[in-house]
Amino acid sequence: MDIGSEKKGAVTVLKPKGPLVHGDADALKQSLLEAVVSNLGRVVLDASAIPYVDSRGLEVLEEVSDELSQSGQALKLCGSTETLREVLNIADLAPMFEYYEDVNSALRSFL
Amino acid sequence: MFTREESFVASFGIVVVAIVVVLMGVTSWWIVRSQQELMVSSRLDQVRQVAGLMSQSAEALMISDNLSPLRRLIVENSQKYELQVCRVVLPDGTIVADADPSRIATTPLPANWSGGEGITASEDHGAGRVAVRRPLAVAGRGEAVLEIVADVNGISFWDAWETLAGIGAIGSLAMVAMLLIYRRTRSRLRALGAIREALLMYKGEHTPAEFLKVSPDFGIEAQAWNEFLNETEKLRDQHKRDEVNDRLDSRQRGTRGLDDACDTMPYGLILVGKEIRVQYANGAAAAFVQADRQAMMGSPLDQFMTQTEVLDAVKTAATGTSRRRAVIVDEIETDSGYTVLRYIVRPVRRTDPGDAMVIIEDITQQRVAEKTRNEFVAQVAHELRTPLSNIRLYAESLLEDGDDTTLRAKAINVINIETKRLARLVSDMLSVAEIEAGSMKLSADDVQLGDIFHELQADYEQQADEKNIDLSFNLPPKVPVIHADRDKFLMALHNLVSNALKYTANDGRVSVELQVQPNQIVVEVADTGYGISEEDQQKIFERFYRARDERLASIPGTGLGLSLAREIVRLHGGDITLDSQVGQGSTFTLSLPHHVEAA
Repeated sequence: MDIGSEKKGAVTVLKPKGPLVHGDADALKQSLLEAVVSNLGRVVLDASAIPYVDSRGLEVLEEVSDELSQSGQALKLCGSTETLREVLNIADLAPMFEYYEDVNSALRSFL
Repeated sequence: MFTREESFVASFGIVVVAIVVVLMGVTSWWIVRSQQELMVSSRLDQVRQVAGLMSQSAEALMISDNLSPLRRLIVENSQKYELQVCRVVLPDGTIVADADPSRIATTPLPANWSGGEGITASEDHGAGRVAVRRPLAVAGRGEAVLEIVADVNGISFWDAWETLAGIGAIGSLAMVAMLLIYRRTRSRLRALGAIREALLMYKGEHTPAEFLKVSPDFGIEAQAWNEFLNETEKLRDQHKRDEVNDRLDSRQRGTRGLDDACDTMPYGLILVGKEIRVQYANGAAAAFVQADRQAMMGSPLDQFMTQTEVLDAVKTAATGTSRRRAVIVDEIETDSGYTVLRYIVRPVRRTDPGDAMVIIEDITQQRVAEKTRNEFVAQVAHELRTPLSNIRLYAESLLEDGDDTTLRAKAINVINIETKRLARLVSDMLSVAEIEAGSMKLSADDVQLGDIFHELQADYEQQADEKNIDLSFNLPPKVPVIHADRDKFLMALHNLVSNALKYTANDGRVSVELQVQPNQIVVEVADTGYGISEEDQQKIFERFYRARDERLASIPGTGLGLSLAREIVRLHGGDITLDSQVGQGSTFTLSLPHHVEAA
C-alpha cells in the first residue's frame, strides 16, 4: 500500500492508496500515530483511494480514533467511499469519526 | 551499601578445618582400638584352640600316669605359642606339669584325689593378657585344671604409624582440596556472607533498599541481590503509587463525569495547586506537553513544561500576586513543521489564591490561515491596483485630451482590457469562494470551441505583442462543439493562457493546440517560459501557492488561477496535468471527456 503524506498548512494529510487490509493496515496505523504525535493531532485521513477495508483495517481506524479521543479529538476522514461508510455503519463504528467531503473541508475544521 | 568483611567466611573455614582435624583424630583412635580388640580376640581364639588340644592330650596322659610326655607337651606348646602360664594343677594346688619345670612337684601322681568337683571352664581377658581354664577329667583319679595365660601384644599409635600416616595424607589432601574449592568459591561465599549480614539487618518493609545493598565487587551474586532489591523497591513504589492513585480515583469518582467531559475537550486543561504541582490534567493537556497523564498528577509543573513565561505566569497566579489572566503564545519548531500553542493562565479563585488554571489551545492552523489570508489580500490588492492605475491614468488622459482620436482609441482599448482583467480577477475570487463553500454549479450547454479560441486569441494578442511573444493557436480543421459550462471553461483556459504569457520572458513563444481524440479533447498550452521546479510542481495547483522562484517575485499573481482552472476542469470530469523543466518552459495539458459523434 502506498501511503501518500502531504502537509497542508499545519495539517498532515495521509492518503493511502489501496485496500486497507491486514499488513497494510498496520503500516497505516504506524504512519497515522506518528503523524498524530508529531503534529499534535492535526491529521486528516484522505480515504478517497481506499476501495474496501477488512476487520484489521477497521480495528486500526478504531484504535487511532481512540488515541485521538483521549485528547478530545477524532480521526477526520475525508472523501470516504460509499463502501467504507457502509462498512463503518455496519460495524457500528461510524460515530467515532468526523466525516468531510474533501480535504479542504477537513482542513477548515481545524480553524 | 555494605562492604562486609570476611568474618563469616573465616569462621566457616576454621570450623571446617577443626572438624576435619577432629575427624582425623577420632578415626585414628578408632582404628587403633579396633586393631587392639582384633588382636585380643585373635589371641583368645588361639589360646582356646591350644587349650582344647592340650586338655584332651593331658587327660589321656594323666590316666596312663605318663607325666613326662605331658610335661614336654606343656613346655613345647608354651614356647611355640608364647604362653606366659601353661600348667596342669590338681585341686589341692599341686602343679603336675608346668612350662617352668622348677615349679613342678616331684611327687608322683596320686592314685586318686578329690576336691575337683565343680571346676568349670572359664575365660578371661584384659590388661594385655588372656586367661583360659579348662577342667580335666582324669578317669579313676579325679579332676584337674589346665591353666593357660598368654600375653596379648599391645598396639600403640606409633605401631599404627602407617595407617595414621595414610589417614593424615588423606586428610591433608582433603584440606588442600577444600582450600582449592574455597579459593574458587571464595567470592561467592563473600557475597553470600554479605547478603546474610544484610538479611540480619533487615528491619521490616520500611528498611531502605540502599541500606541492604552489598558491594557489587563481590560478584554476580551481589549484583543480582542488588538488582533484586532495586526491583523490589520499584514494585513497592509502584504499589504505593497505585494506592495513592486508587485513593485519588475513589475521591474523584464523584467527579468522574466531569473528568470525562473535560477529556472530550480539544483544549488542554491543567489545574496547578500550591508548590506549582499539577493537581489535574485532561487528555489534551497531556498530549500538548507530550507527557504521561498519570505521571503528571502531583508532579511539579516545570517537569513537563519548560516555557519560562508560562511558568512565571502560573507562579504569579497561584501565589495570588496577580489576579488577571495572562495569555502567552508560544511557537515551537519541530521536525514536522512548527506548532503554535496559546496558553491562558489565570487564578482559579479571586479571593483565595493557591490554585491556577492553565488552558492550552493549538492555534497553528489559525496562524497558517491568517498568514495565507494576509498574503492573499496583499496579492489581490496588488492585482487590483495595477489595472485600476491604468484605467485611472487613461481616464484622466481622456478627460484632458479627449479630442485626440488616436489617444482616445488607445485609452478606450486599455480601459477595456484592464476592465476585463478586473472582471476576471473578481470572477476568479468569486469562483474560489463558491468552490470553498461547495456551492459551485455548472451550467452546461453546447459550446462552440472555435469561438472560445478566437476570443482567447483576440484577448491576448496585444499582451503577447507587448512582450514580443509568438502566440499561436493551432486548431484542427473541424473544431467540435462540446457540452460544458462556457463561462467557467473559458475561465480555466484564460488562466492557463494568461499564466503562460505572464511567466514567459520577452521574445518567447506560447502555443495553444487543440487535439480532438476519440473520447476526449486535449488542449495543450506550451510556453518557453521560466519553467517550474519539481518541488513547486507538487504544490503549484494548491490554492494561494506561488512558486518559490526568485525570478517570479516581481510578477504579480494571487496563486488562485491554476487551482481554479483544475477545479473547474475536474468538475467537468477532466483534469489538468503539467510537464515542465526549469529554464525550458512548461506545458499544461487540459483533457476533457468528449464523445465524438460519427459523421
